[in-house]
Amino acid sequence: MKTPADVREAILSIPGVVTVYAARPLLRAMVGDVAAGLAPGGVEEPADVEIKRRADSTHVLVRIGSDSAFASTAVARAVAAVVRAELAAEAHPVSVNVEVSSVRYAS
Amino acid sequence: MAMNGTNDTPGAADADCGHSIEELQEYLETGESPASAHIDTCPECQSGLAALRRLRALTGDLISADVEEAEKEELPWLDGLMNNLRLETRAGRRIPLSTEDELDSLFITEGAVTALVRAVGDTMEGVLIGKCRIQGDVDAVGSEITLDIEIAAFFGYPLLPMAEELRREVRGVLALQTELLVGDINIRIVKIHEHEIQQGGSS
Repeated sequence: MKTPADVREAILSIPGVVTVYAARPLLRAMVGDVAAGLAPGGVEEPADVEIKRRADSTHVLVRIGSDSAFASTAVARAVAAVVRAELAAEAHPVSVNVEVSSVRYAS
Repeated sequence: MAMNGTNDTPGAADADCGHSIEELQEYLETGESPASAHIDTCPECQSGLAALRRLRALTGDLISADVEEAEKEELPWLDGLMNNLRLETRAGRRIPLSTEDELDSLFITEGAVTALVRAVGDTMEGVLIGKCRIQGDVDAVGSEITLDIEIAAFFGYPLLPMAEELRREVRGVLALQTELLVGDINIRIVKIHEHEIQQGGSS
């Protein structure tokens, strides 16, 4: 079974993808605070790519930064396709939510 | 071709990160912040930092000159610019992108788009973006919008060709990066800086 780290690596290999951001930044920040202040080493941080496996479906949430030389729609579609390919062995349909959160501008 | 409708998609991302432009400014000045780990990996914070860096590079000399000449502590044009940056350094609305699979939901954030417009303008000679607003409903693919941009121009640059070039560049970038139907791009020149500076650095 593919892990979020596996999927993240595959996404980063797509032309036009500059970075992968935390899918749940607020959650990550809160968990980070808890881990640092209350339970050092005892809390697992959420992965950058979120994969939610439910009884009848799998949902994936990805936030990326892209390069302005590439069209956002094409990059986002490529990300969705790569995620689906990575999770092809899942037993249920996979829905992919891709957000382009930043576009690096190269003039 | 599937279309995205709303932001109520399962797994929709969290809202804005909650860090202020003041925190980013302090981080830029000191290189330290309790939230540095977050700032280094947050798209909105990174956009804000990039805008602040460009602003600092462009305005350092202007601020000195304004203070020397006017002998006043308040710089209304800079305050206004910072207020706009404060509003724009957010993820904002999610602008849908068309998909090939009906199970997918693809978006670009409003914050990513406005940061891109700022980057386009701020790297043009003679221009400093003061404000950028997307007006109109962006909830469906192909929505028609209007863009309102306010700029400060530097003395010596012909204003109309400059505005035309900015309009053309922005329209091109939006055509590539969004599927919005871009109507008018209104450019308002709100200030002309009389002091000569070198774009992207100090004079």
